[in-house]
Order: sequence, then structure tokens, then C-alpha cells
Amino acid sequence: MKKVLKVNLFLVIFFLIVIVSPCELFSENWLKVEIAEDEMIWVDNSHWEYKKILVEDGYYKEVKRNKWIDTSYTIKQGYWKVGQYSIWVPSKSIVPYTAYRYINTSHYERRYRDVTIWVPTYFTVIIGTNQYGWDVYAFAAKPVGLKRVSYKGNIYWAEKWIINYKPYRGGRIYAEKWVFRSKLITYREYYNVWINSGYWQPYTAYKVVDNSHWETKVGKYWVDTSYKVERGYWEEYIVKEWVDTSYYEHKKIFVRDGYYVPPLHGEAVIEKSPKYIFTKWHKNTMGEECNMELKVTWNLDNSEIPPGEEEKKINSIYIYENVCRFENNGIDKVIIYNDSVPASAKGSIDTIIKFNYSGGEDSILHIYLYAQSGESAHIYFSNPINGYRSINISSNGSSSNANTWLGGNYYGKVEF
Amino acid sequence: MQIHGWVVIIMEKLNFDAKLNKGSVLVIIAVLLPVFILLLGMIVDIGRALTYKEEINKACMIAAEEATKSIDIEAAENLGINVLNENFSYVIHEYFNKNYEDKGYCSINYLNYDIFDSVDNPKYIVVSCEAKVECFFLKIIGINDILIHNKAYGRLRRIK
Repeated sequence: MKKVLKVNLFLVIFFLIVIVSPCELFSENWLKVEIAEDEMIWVDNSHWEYKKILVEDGYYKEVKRNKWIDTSYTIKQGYWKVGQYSIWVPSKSIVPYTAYRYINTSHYERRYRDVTIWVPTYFTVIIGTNQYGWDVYAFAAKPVGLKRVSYKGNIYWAEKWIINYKPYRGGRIYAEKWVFRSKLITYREYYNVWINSGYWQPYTAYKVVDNSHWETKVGKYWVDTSYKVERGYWEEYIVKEWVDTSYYEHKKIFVRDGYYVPPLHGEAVIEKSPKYIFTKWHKNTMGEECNMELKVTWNLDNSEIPPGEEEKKINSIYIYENVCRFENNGIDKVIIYNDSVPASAKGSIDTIIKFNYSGGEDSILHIYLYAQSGESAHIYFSNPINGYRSINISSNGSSSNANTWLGGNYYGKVEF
Repeated sequence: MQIHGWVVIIMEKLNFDAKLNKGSVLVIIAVLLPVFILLLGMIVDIGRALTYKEEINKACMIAAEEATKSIDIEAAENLGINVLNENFSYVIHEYFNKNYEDKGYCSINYLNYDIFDSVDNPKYIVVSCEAKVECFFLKIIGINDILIHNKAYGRLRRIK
């Protein structure tokens, strides 16, 4: 009996979960996200570009040149002679002298000045009655204007109101009310002033004095009569010279481009309709081209932002799919959304897209959420695009079952 | 009178002497001419039937192809299964009639289809047709019409 009850209870709970929240059950593992933490995320902006490329080309050409072969030589000769001759005597001495250096004694000096300013104030003085009496006859109060008055030794600007009322029963009621608005105060303001000062201080320095001079001597000395015989001839030689025939060519080249941005923290909900996506060449039940509706909802976790730092908000979204076409026909990049959105920590966008080409399960849909402050989150999942065609087959028929369709994901929640 | 061609060949083979057999050529021609006309009629009638068979075969092939594409797109988009649409038989007739030109001397006896395995698992569709072509010359020998049969097989293939 207990066993039956347990089974029943399990079934009730299971069906409740399925009915109340069917989405949660079938969502999680098909969505992928680049893990936040400290890893930077690469935003790939690689693209094809036509560029002017220098094609290096050329050839070597043999060129005749002439060079001078120098066969000059020197004849060294001379003789000894007795007589008067001069020689250079190098000599140096160090002498002291008085030099001056500047001693800078510039400094800040603390000074003050008395500053008079008006400061706001608010209090009321009633003359000739009290607050109650004034309130009773307040209807008869008339403004006189703003007056500069002295009160208890201070200067004020005050609004003057007067009640000068003659009631029917006779007599006269007169009262004044002063509403003090601002007060003249004087305070001492301190400030720093830079004082330029200094003096030249004498000190002893040393310098080198050159005392070199010619000295005349008498004796035997060598008279050099050597001379150089200049001669030579031109010799022909062959050099290889590079003739540059390089030219520019316009080529389509793949430019690797992109940048790293730090990740965000939060959660995203991806809703896709229909579950199985077909190319636009097939018609849906409405007779329109098949398409895909994609809703991306985000909710950023700003709870761990340090005090004083601005809350993170998503302000730009980039969604695209790389459709990996069959039979090695390449990758078709389909931009689904690439625009700014009103900056918000919590929001969603709805997109609708039609696909030109079918692609396998390796076709990946990428969602980038960019924050104002430069961070980003990258969510991606496999999103195959189905397509079909009909063929005539032989009279043997076919034993294989009818094809089923790729895909099936439609709701997922992921934390990043 | 000079006689050329096959008549000469036959006369030579039979050691035919024209001088001795004056008028017999006319008799031979009179006997052979209906045979030739009959042969010519057979060629015309059968040729016409073959041309018509080819035309119907083409219409059957297109009808079979288009019928396989007539899938329930709602089931495909939401459940990922390949199920034939309710109106696939209408598609067969529509595309057959679009690709077959009705001529006065021909008539369609029936246009049938078979689904293998089932509507829920359409491995392939067979479109079969029987037509009747009225004869013109062969009526002489009592053949009023020629029956022709065609079958075409179509299957849906997911692009992969």
C-alpha cells in the first residue's frame, strides 16, 4: 500500500513539473556559454577584404663596371742634419678659482584674509503681536519689500510685512513681521602663496690650464724627404644588378580581426520558434517563407558590484549564425541582429530571420551581449537549418525510412 | 517505261521478263500497296502511342516528386517528423494535369497512387496511370486503341 502511494506521489510531482514548467526540463545542456570568471572573450570580426598587395618580382641583370686599381707606392727617405729645431712640449696644470652656485630658498607662505559673504538664513521676528495674533490677521498682511536691517549686531536682508488693519468694531491693529533671508558674515580664509627667493653662494672650484708650448733646441735631427708615387689603372668587372619589376595587385584576402572583452555575470533566456528551422525556400502553414523567431532575454547580476561603481547595463547585441553548408560548400554567415539597444540591466529583444542555405548540426548560432562598460557575454548553441528536395527513384523503391529533421531546441536558460 | 529501285531487284530475282509479262507489275503493286499502307499506319499509330506514353510518364514523375514535397510543415517545424499533408492526393492530380496536354485521341483511364510505408512514414510514393490512345490506321485490321501504362516513384530527401 505504501509503495503504491509513493509511486502515485512521484507521478503527481513529475506531471506537475512537466505541466507547470515544461521549459525548464528540456533546456539546459544545449545552450553553451563562454565561462565568465577572469577569462577574456574574443569577439571575432574577421572578414574578407580587397587589398592592394605588392607582388614582388624581378630578375638579375649583368652590368659592366670599371674600378680604379691603385698601384701607388711611397719612397721613404731622408737625412740627418745638425742645427736648430723646434719641438712641441705638452704641459698641463690644475688651478683653483672661485665659482658661484644658486641656492633656491623658494617656499609656500601661509596667509589669511577676511572674507565677507551673505549666507542664507531663515527666521522670523514679529513686532506688535505674537505668532497667533499675526495668524488671525494674516489676511491683512501686505509686503513692504526686502530691507537691509541690523538685528542684534548683525546685518541681514529681511522681507518686511505689515498689518495695518482697522476693524469695523473700531480701533486699529498694527504689527510688523520681519522674515530674515540672508545674513552678512565675515570669516577668515587661509591660503598659500609661493615666495620666490634664493642667493648665489661662492665655492672653490678647480680647472685645467694647458701650458703646452714650442721649445727651440740645437742638435742632430732627421729631415724627412719621403714622397708618394701616384699610379694605377682602370679594370673592368661584371656585377649582378637586381631589376625590380614588382607590381601591385588587388587581392581578396582574409583579415583576421577582433578584440577581447571581459565577461559579464547574469542569466539569459533563449526562446526559439519553431523548434526545427527550415530554409526560406519552403513555405510554412501560412503560405509564407519559413523563418526563425528568436527572443533573447537577459538579466544581469549587479549584486556584487563594489559601492560607487556604476551598474552594468547591456547596450548592444550582436547575433549571428555560421551556417555550415553541406557537401563542403563553405560557411554562410547570417547576421541576425547587430545593433544597439536601450541600456538596461534587464531586457529582451525579438528577432526574426530567414535562412538561404541549409546547414548541419555544426552550424552555431552566437549571441554576444555587450555592456556599456565594455564587458560582454557570449552564448552559443547548435542550430541546424533544414532543407529538402524531392527525387525520382528507381522501380525498386526505397527501404530506408522517411527523413526526420534536425534541431528541436526551443527554450533554454543559461547563467554566465 | 524505265523501272528503278526495288521493283527492278524483285524482277531480276524472279528472272522477270518485262516483254513477256506485260501488266503484271500493276498486279504486283496492287497486291503490295495495301500491305505497305498498313505497315505505315502501324508505324504512325504505335509511334503516336509511344510519344504519348513518354508525355504521361513525365507527368507521373513530376506528380510523384511534388507529392513527396507536400509534407505537413507544422509537424515538421514543431515535432521534427516527416508526415504527408492531407492534400497530397490533390497535389498529384494538380501536377499531373498541369503537365499532361489533353488530346482528342487520347484519354486517361485512371490515375492512382500508393504510399510506402504510410502517411506517417512516407518512404516513397508511386504514381501509376493507364491511358488509352485511339488508333487511326490500325482500325482497318480491327485494333481500335492501344493501352499504355506508366509508373513513377518519388521520394523526399533531406539535404545533407
